[in-house]
Amino acid sequence: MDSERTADQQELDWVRKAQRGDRQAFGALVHSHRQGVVNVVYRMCGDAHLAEDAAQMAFLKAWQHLSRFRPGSSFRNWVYRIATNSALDDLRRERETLNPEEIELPAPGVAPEERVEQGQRSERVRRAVLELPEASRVVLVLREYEGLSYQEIAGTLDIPLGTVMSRLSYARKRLLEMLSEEIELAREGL
Amino acid sequence: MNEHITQLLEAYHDGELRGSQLERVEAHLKSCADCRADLTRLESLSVLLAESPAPAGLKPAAQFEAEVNRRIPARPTPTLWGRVLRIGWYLTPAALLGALSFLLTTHLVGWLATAALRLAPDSVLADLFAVSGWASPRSLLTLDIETLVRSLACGLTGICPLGLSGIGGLLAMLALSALYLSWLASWVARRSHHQKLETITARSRG
Repeated sequence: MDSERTADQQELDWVRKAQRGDRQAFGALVHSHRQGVVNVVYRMCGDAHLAEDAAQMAFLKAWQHLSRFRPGSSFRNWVYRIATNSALDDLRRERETLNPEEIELPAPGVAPEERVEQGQRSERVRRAVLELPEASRVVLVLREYEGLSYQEIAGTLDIPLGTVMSRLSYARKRLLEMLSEEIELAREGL
Repeated sequence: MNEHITQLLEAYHDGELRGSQLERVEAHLKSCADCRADLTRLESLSVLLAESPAPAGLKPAAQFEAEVNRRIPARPTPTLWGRVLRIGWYLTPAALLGALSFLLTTHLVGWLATAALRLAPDSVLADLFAVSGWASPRSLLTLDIETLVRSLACGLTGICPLGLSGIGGLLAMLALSALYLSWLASWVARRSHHQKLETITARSRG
């Protein structure tokens, strides 16, 4: 608990310094949140390189609008909001050129049969997530991959709590339908 | 299983329930096989999603951070003009209230002088206002306290004839009041906007 408070205090210190133009402090914020931001965008678009570009763009926007950020609130949620908006904009621009079928997963290499099977299953899951409507997908990503609470998601996306719940419910319902076979296999593993 | 529990089941799965709702769902799960099956399906889905690999082939963290650092522009420092505007914004209500108070005071003193002269032309008060400090500047040089007080009193009433008496003065006061209320409304709007932002960020913090 104390270490969490210290980390919050440290982050607040970085934010205040960055707001005064301290690039090193902003670099520390980028270092802290790079992985999370890239992950969120990657889950949204399914392309690692696009995710990195969008994440960098999100940090640039964060720097430009840092004066609007109110110290004491969650920098992570704020930058997630910028990143998801940025990713959604990129996706809308590239919708015609980006096809989930064309995006390749990292090659499994010379893996055992089980690993290949798992890779194929992951691929089906990834495609199913990408087929969700953007509004539901982003809620699912923030909940399932980043572990944000409903309140945090509502704050990050600036939507009511009820909307978070309904979008999450819709996303799960669709995924349960699309991945019924995989779900059965996973249930056996539980 | 009733529908209400179905709606709560996901919140239960996500650890969002507290108190009586949590107890209610837990009690229901003990007696409802369908709901337990639904919960297992939700858990299986979470497991399945977690299996999906993290992005691979990313740039090293140091490279990513260096690229961001190269791309961010230097933060423009606030200009002198910007600072002046900011200070001016906060000085505006004080200036408006000061001007309004000044006008009100001069009108009140002017009204007192007029009333004194009309009601009792021979009184001490009428005598006080009857002498104008501006009309006899030499009186200021005498350093006579009584004359000085009379001059100051007349100086205040002397403002009134400068086009601000009567309707003009009233209009000036109304204009100042309107400007002050506009500033106040703008300040309230800005404050409520900031409070809304704070509420959103506080909620996002959980």
